[in-house]
Amino acid sequence: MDGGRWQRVKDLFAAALEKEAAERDAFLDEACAADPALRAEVDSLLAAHETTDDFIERPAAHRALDLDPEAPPPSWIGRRVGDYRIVAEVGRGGMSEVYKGVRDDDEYQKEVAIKVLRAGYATRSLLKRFKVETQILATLDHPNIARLLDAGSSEEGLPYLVMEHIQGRPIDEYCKEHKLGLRARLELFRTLCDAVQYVHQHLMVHGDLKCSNVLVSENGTVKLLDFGIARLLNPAPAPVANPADPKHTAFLAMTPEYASPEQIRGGPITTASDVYSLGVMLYQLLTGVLPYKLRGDFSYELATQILEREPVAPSVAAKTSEIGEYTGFGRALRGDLDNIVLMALEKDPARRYSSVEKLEDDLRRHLEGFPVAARSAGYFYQLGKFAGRHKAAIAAVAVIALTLVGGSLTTMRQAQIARQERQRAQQHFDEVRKLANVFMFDVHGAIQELPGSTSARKMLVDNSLRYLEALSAESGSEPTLQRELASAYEKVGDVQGGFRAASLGDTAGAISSYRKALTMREALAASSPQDRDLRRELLRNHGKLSEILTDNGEIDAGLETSRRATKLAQELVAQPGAAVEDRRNFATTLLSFGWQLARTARVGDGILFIRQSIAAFDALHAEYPQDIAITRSLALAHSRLGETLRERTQDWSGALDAHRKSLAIAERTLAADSRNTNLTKMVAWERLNIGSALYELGQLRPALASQLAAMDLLRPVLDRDARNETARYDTAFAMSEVSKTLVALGELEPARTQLTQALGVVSQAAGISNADLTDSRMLLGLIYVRLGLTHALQASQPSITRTARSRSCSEAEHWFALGEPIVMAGAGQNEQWRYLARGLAEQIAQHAGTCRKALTVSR
Amino acid sequence: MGHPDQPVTKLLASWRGGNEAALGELTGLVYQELRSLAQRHLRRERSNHTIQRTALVHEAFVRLVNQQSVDWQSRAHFFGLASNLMRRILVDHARARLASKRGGGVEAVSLDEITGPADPEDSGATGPRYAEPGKVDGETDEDVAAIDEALTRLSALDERQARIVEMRYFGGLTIEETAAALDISDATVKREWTLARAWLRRELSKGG
Repeated sequence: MDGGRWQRVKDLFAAALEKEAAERDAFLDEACAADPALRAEVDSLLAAHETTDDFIERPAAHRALDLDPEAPPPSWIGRRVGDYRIVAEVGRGGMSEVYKGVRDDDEYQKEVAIKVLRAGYATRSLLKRFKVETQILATLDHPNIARLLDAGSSEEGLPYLVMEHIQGRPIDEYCKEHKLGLRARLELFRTLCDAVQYVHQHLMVHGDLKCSNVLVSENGTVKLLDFGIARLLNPAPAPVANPADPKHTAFLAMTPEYASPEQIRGGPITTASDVYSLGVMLYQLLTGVLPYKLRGDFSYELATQILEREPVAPSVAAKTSEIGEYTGFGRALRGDLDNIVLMALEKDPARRYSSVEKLEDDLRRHLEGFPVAARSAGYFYQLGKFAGRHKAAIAAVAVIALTLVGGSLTTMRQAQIARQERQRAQQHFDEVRKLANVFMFDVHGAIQELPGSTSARKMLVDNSLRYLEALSAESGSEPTLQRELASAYEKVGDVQGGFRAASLGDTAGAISSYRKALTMREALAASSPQDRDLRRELLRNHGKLSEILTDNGEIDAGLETSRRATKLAQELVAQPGAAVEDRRNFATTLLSFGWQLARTARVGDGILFIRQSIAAFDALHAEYPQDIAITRSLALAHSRLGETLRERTQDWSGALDAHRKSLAIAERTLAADSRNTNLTKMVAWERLNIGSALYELGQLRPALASQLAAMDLLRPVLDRDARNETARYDTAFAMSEVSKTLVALGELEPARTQLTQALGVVSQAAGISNADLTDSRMLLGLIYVRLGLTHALQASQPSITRTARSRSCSEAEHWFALGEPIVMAGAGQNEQWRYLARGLAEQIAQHAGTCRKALTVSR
Repeated sequence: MGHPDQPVTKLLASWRGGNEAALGELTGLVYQELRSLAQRHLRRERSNHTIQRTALVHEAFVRLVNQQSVDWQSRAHFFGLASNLMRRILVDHARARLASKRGGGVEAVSLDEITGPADPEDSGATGPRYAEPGKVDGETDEDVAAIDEALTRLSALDERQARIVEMRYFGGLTIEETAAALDISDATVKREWTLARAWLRRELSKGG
């Protein structure tokens, strides 16, 4: 069957499936009237489709590797093992089953738990592990560890264990059912710590600590169970190397939700892993949730969370909990308990408590009111974590190195043609290879030694520049090499200064790299004025340099560069044979020049240039209505005009008008391509912009409607892809805008609900750190302050009781203290954040005053 | 944090950077890891609930690759490669089992070197460990080999559809992951998957 015919079959098959069964025949009769063979093909596929059921829906690996569910379980009930008679099944674990038994000859009919290996599991290594568990339990004698009473083998040679039978509930359920307070929970947990510490003292690790393995009896006695994957810390050297042994198999047996990062990676289990799992349990007992939530039934997702994400502080998790009893814990968890739990959950084992005893001791100190050893992460530590998150940028530098190697190979081939050039090319190649080696090996090594990768990042850039300079000196005036080098400098600049991407934040370095690239390209362009691509590169270079200069506060230099970019673009457009791309570039340079000019005192001129840019894009759009890039640029130009009017002239109705135009264009484009995430995002942002203009104009209800519509567009994008960090930010931002309007409308409760949800969304953002001010962190600050405002407004209501007022005031104070420094720092940094922070300082001051007054009066 | 040594992460980047030689080495390492994971699963050293939730390719990815230094394209490349390797492993496994059932296959090793009744210490512990191999889901071992062959025919007709089946059926990837790996929409994957299943079903019933 040829491709065209197969495509026809595909189309008809899909179309037929969308029809009701009754209509299919008629539809196919018509569609295949002239082609009975086609009809037969589609019919047979449809018939096969009817019989597919769950054919191949279950992955082959599951099927091939899974156990055989048909195998009849051997009946243990009623059998005797040793002195005991098995009376009922209690539960089944991964590879064993637990039964309830009674001692036949015992007049007290004392109940015991009997654990046997599941049928089909009696492989050599599991038998050995079962034996290890028996040995471990036999050496442990502690009131909080389930006691081993007997062990032996059944008639068929299957090993079994007899243990004391615990009538109890898992520790988390016990706490919930008895509505235990914070202190009681901590005391219970300390008892558990004692038991685990006892295990460690006997040179063993448990390896599978989780709530369901810790039972609490009605009288409150804690019992630790299931040493199924426990092992000796220093096992005697095995006679034969056995790849199946504990180090490797632990990964497979663990419970993912409680597993430490090193267990996830398949590394060795140590006492530090038990400390981590205890941390997870403590988190759960204090907040009602696990530190990392499992979305759906998918442990790969969970594994990456455990490896990559920082957990939300327990106080915040408790605060945002949907269960009433935990929200009450929120406040008490702030500070010490947050620090203690987070220290136990450190990803690096070396940063956790060095022993369970230390963890337990810190809890005791907290309960007794002494200072604890756990501290909130300091500045340098945060910086280290920050560097860790920017590994992607560092990897990008490595990619540059590879690009250079690729480029140099081409040069090599050319050089072989011109023999006299060979030696230099060889030298070039060697230099580049050295560079690549530095990136691939030195750098990789340095990055692995996190935290503290600030030095690594610096080394990267220093090295790359050193090698680039060596190349630059040696290449002479060979144009190909020069051009290649200019591109390399440009890329290094991107990594240093972050031209719209993850970067090292080294703005000065980036400016210098962009300038070097620019100088080279200008020389090249002077000697070959006809090379249009070269001039386009030069234009792009100017664009990037001007943008970063402006960001760096070098407004005049930025403007000057931008002016030159505009001129270059204009020349390119004027040349015969100019492409659409050149015209678009020209319109774009007009837009950025206008945008930058409007940030200076020459606001009016700036707006004029932006309007010129709109006119240019309008003309292009009329000519090429199907060109998505042009359409988007036109919408963007309107939007930028709106932002300028809003932020620079407070011309709210002008801004409203501009954003409405932008929205109309974006919506039209989205209608033609409804699944396009970028367009969806653009439409949502225009709705938010319109909402904020309406808000400023005092039209609160229409503002709210527009903001809610934006939220409805953004939320599904995040729901579809929880790893999409931009979608996360956008969604949280929309929620915070909605709440801002709700506050203005006096709807404090809905506003607070919205903010709490926004907090939940944004606090999972990957890029939040105390060490740098990102959009996400600024947003977090805004959310804190707005939460504070809802409480402050509550406090100023006349009907409120004195106690409630004092509570609201102290809540407000807490959130203000968290948010104000962030918001104020942000406002000093750029125009957009300044706009967002507008008026907040006054509101905070005003409400703080009200609270002070209210509190003084009440005293 | 990080693996003591991450050759796979490096190789992945190198392959993405256009170095074809890296692919060979990468394939070797990933194949080894997948195979040893599969063997451990077969030794039953894993609790049931975990089997249900994790595809081997995910497990291999978490173990071999430094999560923070790869982008989504590299992840997609990895999953594509790993799905293809899983296909080989599973088909070898099925063929080896078939061979041993038919009494042939002197070299029938593969995964069965662990599960087969060759180990005297293991045999007779609880009787046969498989009641009857493969009678699960109404599919048999024959199916895996037959599906593999039919899939090869499908790829001549529609390569992308065959890739989708490879990722979903052999790799155990979800619709969304398959879509991301091939850079197409979820809806397209679903549509193609429906037709591919029908096509394969028909193809297999032809063969009898």
